Amino acid sequence: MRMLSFLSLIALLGVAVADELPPEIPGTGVATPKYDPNHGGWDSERLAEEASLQLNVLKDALETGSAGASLAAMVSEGFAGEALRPLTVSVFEDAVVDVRRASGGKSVRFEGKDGWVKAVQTLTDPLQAGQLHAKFKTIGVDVENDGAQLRFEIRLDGQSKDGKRLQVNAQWATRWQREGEQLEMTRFEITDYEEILTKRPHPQPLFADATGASLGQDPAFQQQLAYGIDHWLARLDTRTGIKVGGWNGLAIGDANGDGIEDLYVCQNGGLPNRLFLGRADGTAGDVAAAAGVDWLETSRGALWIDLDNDGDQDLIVAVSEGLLVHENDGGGRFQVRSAEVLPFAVPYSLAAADYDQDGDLDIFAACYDRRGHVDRNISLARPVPYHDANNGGRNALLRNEGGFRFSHQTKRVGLDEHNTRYSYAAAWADYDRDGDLDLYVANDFGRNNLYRQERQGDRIRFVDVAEEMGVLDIAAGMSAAWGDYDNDGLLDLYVSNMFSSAGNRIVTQGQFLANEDKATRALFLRHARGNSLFRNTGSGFDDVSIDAAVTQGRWAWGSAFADLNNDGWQDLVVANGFITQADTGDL
Amino acid sequence: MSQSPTKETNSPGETYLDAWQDLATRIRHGNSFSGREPNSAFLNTRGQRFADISLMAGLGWKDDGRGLAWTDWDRDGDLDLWISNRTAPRVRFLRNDYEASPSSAMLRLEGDPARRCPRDAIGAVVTMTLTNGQRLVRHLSAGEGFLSQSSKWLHFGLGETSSIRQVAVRWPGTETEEVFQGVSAGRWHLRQGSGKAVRDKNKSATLPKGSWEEPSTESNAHVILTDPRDAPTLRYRGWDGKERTLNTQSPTLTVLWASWCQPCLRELAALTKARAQLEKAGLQVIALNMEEAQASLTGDAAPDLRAIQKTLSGLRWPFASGRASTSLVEDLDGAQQAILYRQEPLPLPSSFLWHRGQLFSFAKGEISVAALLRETKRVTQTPTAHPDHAVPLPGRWSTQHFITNPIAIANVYLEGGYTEDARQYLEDSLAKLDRVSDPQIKRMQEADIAHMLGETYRLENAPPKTALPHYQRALQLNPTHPAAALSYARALAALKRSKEAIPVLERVLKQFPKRHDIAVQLGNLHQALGQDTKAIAQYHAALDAEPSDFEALNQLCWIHATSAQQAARNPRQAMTLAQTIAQRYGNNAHALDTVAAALAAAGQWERATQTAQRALALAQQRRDPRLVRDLQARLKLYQSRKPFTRR
Repeated sequence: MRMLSFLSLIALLGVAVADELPPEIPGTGVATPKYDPNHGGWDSERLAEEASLQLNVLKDALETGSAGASLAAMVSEGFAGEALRPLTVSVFEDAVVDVRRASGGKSVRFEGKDGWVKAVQTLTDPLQAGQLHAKFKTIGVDVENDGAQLRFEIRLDGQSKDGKRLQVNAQWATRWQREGEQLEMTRFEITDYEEILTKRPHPQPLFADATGASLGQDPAFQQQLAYGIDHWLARLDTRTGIKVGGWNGLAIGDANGDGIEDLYVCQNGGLPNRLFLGRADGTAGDVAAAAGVDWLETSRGALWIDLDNDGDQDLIVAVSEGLLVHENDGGGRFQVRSAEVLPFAVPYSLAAADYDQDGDLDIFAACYDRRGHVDRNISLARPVPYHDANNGGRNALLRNEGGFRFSHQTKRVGLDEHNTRYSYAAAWADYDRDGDLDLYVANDFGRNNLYRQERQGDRIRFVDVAEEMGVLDIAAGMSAAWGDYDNDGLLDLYVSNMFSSAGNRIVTQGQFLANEDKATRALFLRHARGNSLFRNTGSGFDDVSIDAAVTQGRWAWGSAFADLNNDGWQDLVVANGFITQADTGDL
Repeated sequence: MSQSPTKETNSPGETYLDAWQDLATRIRHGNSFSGREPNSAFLNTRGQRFADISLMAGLGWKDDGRGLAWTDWDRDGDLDLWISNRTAPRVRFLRNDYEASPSSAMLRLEGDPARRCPRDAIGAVVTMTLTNGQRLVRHLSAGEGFLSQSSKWLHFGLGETSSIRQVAVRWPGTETEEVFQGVSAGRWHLRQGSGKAVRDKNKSATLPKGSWEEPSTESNAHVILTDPRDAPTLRYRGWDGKERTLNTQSPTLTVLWASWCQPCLRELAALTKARAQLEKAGLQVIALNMEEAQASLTGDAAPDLRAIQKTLSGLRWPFASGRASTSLVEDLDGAQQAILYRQEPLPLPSSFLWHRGQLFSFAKGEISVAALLRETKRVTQTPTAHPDHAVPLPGRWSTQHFITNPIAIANVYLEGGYTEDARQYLEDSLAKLDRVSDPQIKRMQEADIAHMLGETYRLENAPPKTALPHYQRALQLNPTHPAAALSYARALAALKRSKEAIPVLERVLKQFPKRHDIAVQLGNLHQALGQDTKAIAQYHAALDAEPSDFEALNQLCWIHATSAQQAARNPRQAMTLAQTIAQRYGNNAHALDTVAAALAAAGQWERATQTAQRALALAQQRRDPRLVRDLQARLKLYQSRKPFTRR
């Protein structure tokens, strides 16, 4: 293997010398070959791959607005299908956008190769050529004798000819037939169509990237945050604690008490955390070193809270060893008052609440992997079993005892039940409106926990009611947030998970876990579904994820309810993507 | 994941774990994994199906987003977003320019700790009723989503047509809502108990124009190790063909180069030019040509060694030189692979700095002479671990703040109630002691851990004989371990084997004559064995070391008051001690029991009875059934004017 990759590098070398780029030493930094779906015995994956190549022709046609001969060649002579842009009806509008969906009325049929070109033009004609981006995901494959049925999810954005901004979200059901070497499309149906159009010309997107405006002049941003993790992975000794995953969060709070929000940014091992003090004009500058919070260990979550009720914001930072608890001197300088070692596991997200109603804030640390359970150079957990892993790290509830001292209450109050999951995040809320705080914990590789607080006098007891309340959400849980999305006064729950189009394709195939029962296979499919929205009914929760169309968060991490358009209805935002590197051959 | 074991009882199949390993390896070599995924935004269409506006909203950045927090950063009434990313920029600010409606109310709550509400009022629920009848409910949290904390300013979008009728706050821990008057669109402070909203004085901001660009990543890198790693034996060939071993004991730079590589020639020229400085710094340099190794790998014709030597003499190369073998290249590659996460081929040139048989740093690509001189000086002066140099930007390490002692960490487990985990942890710590080089220190630490292991059983109320072997082991390793000796003695006493513990405690006490707790325990053992005079001597020894030792005082008084042995019984002495005890520990049931016994021994029946009654009440309060039983029996004696005598 060493020899093989060496030979392939020789070719590289020739180019490198010619271009005066630094040449590489052959045989070093040896890589391994990729997975090839064509060699795994998965017919469905091979078909999906072939079809996606065909769809690139359509993508080109959409993005360039020109229908070449290759577009017509995609389909069979006997092709029949619908318009790519069906008849729509407005379902929502605010001052800026109009949301339209397929009206469900009888659609015009397009037939033959010419018909297909015209069907495509229904979408491209009103749009500015060259301004459009289209992305397809293959979400379902059914192999048939001489071809396949394929389902696609489409996201498209661009501008209309009169300058309005547009996004199209659609699902297509297609049928393909093998014709000699080629796969030809014979049927095309729209199973879902939504388009959002601005009411007026809108040259800029609804959110502007103002990173440069706010932080661009700051040296800490220029020297550190302007580089992605991959830059540092090629330069820093792994013993600095640097990790590939980029699990470094942020916290908003007023560090110096001037009434203007500041931002604490957690960083990877070997790179200092940053504290950006907001200025009146919206710019911000880093003062982490002077404030005493420029920690170099891998830091994941952080919280601004007033731990001693003295009116300033103290700071907790989850570093690998445990929690660093800082006291604010009132002017934005910090001193470590306590370092709470968490020997059980590595802390990720932090969530504070006064669960015991004694007037000070307590801390819950969601912990992912067991300490020593993860190879530092590999940084991936080993969940067993994958769909219901129970070999993760213990979460910890730390009660504030005053004077910046804390005590471990996890087991004492019942939170040790189902507590060896891979927990990424937790969120407190009084979901049942009984006056005390309950806790939802999002776990990777399996079920989540809803701990309902049950008080008997002074005795505090949490009971995991996730199953009876219908919020187990068996999936790769990454984050949790509470918010009343339907304005009925009850807090609903949004949980981010992984959406995997490959997962949706593969798990539905007969050969996947062929020896396992239907229920187990269903769990694996659920793992690939994506995010979940649970509507609080007052007596439990309804899983409304599919109807609300909020599953498609992709490989989701952070999520939040936020009313983006000030209409009083809380929208949802989700941060996505696992590992993007220079090599585009995504796994 | 199709090889995942599907039941907890299944052992993880090798193929499954191999697949994880494989995945990790691929990522390490630069493969993407579910990358290039845009962030999402879903627009709420009034409680019905959401509309996906991710792309048109401008949130579709493919940054590998992680944390996400909202705040009205520029105080213009709408929510802006901060997102932390894996890729560049590590944090992105997305300003809300949606401008569907400028109208919102933002509320900052302040709880009253005097009413048992945290000042930050986390957990509060605010209900805002609008004039159109709509009710908006928001709850205040600290930490939601993933690794994120959003603003504590609660946000209420008011739409275009509505204004606020009422704001009601349910503060955490309260049953009723507090209504606030005077809230309209804008930013408001709401203080618990005030009933009145106060307008925030900060004005909205208009950000200056500004942009940023991702800097291009250079492939050159100077990698400084957090702590030096042992060097393999590095062999190379001289121009005469003889194999030599590289001396890495003094500061040495090895440069891998090729004569066709322009950056290499530049580096060699730069080093040549800096000869005087490098020699003054005490640095040896050796240029190792890798063309021969390359030819042997590719099967190409061997390079013209004479031409290569000529290149060196053309440069007037003043330092040593030679030929790198394939195994030397592999060794150097292995060194960089062990240190860096990102597995990339080594570029040419690559230069490694050695000292005292260890690797301290290496440069991928051309090395800067200035950096090399700095490094040489550092490794010469302090040839040890120096993590501060390994980081590109200054900062502080938190390790000093965290406890690392295994006993202290085991205590954290025990505090949490995780006895078994504590045990597991201690056993793991024992295994790790192999790394401690000093045998004496190792023995002491092992003794501490063995003792603590015994304590984990005691805390579980396991039978004393479970803990015993651990205490014995501790005392074997450290015969004068005070805590282990005490635990050992207590366990033996519980097993009615007090006699065996006496020589152990005597040995420890001899070593630590000030340990009054040991003396007391020794006294207790003698007492249990009926050796009351010996016991008295030990209690006195304890009081000499620590006059305020309650246990010594109490036991001494008890023995003088209740001993059946003539030499030990001394009611007068008991009364003197009882006075001190009564003064200091008048609320302690055991102390009062002793005082009552002393009074009875002195024939003061009335006072003895009263005192015993008080002791009984306290014992009942404390739910100590054994003491209650004993006191009831003694009370009967005193009431019938009989002293209590121990058997």
